[in-house]
Amino acid sequence: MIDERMLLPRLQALEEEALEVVYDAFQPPLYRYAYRLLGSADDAEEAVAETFHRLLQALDRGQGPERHLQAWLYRVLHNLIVDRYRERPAWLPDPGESDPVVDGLDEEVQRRMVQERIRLALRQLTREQQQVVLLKYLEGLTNEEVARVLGKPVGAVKSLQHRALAALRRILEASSTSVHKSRSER
Amino acid sequence: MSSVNLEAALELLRDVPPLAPERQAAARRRFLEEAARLGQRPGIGPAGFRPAVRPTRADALGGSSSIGVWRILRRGLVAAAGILLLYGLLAGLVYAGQLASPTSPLYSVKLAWEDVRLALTWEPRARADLALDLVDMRVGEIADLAETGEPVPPRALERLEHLLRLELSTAARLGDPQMVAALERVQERTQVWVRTMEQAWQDGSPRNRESLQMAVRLLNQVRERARLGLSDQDAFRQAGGWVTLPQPIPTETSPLRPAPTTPPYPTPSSRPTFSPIPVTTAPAVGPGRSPEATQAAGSGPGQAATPHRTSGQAQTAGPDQTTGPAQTPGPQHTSEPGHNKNGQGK
Repeated sequence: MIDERMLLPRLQALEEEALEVVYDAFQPPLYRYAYRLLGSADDAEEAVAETFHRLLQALDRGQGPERHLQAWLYRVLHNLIVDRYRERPAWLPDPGESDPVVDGLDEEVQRRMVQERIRLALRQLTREQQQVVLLKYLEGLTNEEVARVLGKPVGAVKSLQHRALAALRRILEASSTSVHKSRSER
Repeated sequence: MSSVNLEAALELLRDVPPLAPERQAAARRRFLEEAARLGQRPGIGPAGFRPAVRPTRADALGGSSSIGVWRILRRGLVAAAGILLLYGLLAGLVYAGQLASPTSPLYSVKLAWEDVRLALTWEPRARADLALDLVDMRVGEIADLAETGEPVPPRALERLEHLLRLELSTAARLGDPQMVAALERVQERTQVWVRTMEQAWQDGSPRNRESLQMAVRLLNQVRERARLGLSDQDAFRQAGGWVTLPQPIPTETSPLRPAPTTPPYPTPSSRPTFSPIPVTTAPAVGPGRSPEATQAAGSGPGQAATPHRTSGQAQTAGPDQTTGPAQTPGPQHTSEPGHNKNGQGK
């Protein structure tokens, strides 16, 4: 676990060793986070590179994270991901039109389509809800670690987690119902 | 119909193909090279100050007696100690204020510190980015309060409006391409923020619905202003970003429509009917990593009775309602990625 308090002053001085530590520690989880939301390695790589670029810009201006480096990085990355949704909207076939085609597609393509549906559902959550779900259930962070990333108390993370799962369930169930309803109408 | 297996659904996203080692190494190299370039700029450090070497009084006196030097040193030490003490107190106060919610006495400290940061951000684009980040935090605070049932104080909404005005006025001072990019970001983020308020509406206490409605109204107005700015940049600049909105706003959402007093969800007869999704208590429900997940997957207070929502779209009449041909209750999501042209979620 990186001691951000010790590291931040060295980062602000653009010390090379501190920058290496930060990059090596945070680039892999940030990339995984971005990939899970974007579904594209190129987009994820670009978003993470831009995040670190903005970190340098902020440090150069004397700004940037003052306490929670990890939270800052995730917030910037997430906002970049949101901007990217706008530029490159995800494509999914309309369930009503494509079900006969879907059934004929190979397993890999079907799996990707399901993954994309889940990503779309995740994107409907708030930023913090998405972070809780991805960091806790896919990155395996503890509640305390997630709380550090979000800059919230542990209790708030627990209730956020509860709401995130409930909201995700509602969205996925609604999406699933739409698919089944369209299929039954055919 | 079986309940969604959240654990299985999320597992599908677990595997992430790693980046090729050479690409990863190249990206790391680019990052460090950029940092090195910034660090080598003459005299410019992160704080923008070059360390100065000033002549001491002893030097000015021709380096006379050690007593004079000691006096100067002593005064300097006292001054430094006082500054450090003051800095420590202020830093402690600011530190404590960072976690303050709008209902906390330290909230004004938090806002004051944000104002300092904004004032010290000279570059307009950076200032616009910072303002957007701060709006994001305000929205999160309001949603948190609403969801936990605490009252949303008026100053939270006032601060939200202040930051949104600042964002638009800053955008109005940018050059054309940067202004367009800034306004597009505003449009996209306001959609996300409105969704946040929607979920707070669904999950939170009724006491805060008026506050949430006001927040959504404000966000929709800002979004409309951004849209007007994109269509007429000159008028946007002349108005300093706070263009006068036509009445009513020609969007799917009218911010002036009063909140419903009865359950905000559409009646079954008015919407495509979906059978209520049974909430199973099967072991597979939820990711299963913690008791909270299982509890979350169980029947919450409103789940069985609540008509579903399609992904991201408030078919429920949330904190705002719509008018217009689409007749879609809740904040608009017309241009949102992932939605088909009918505005239905997937």
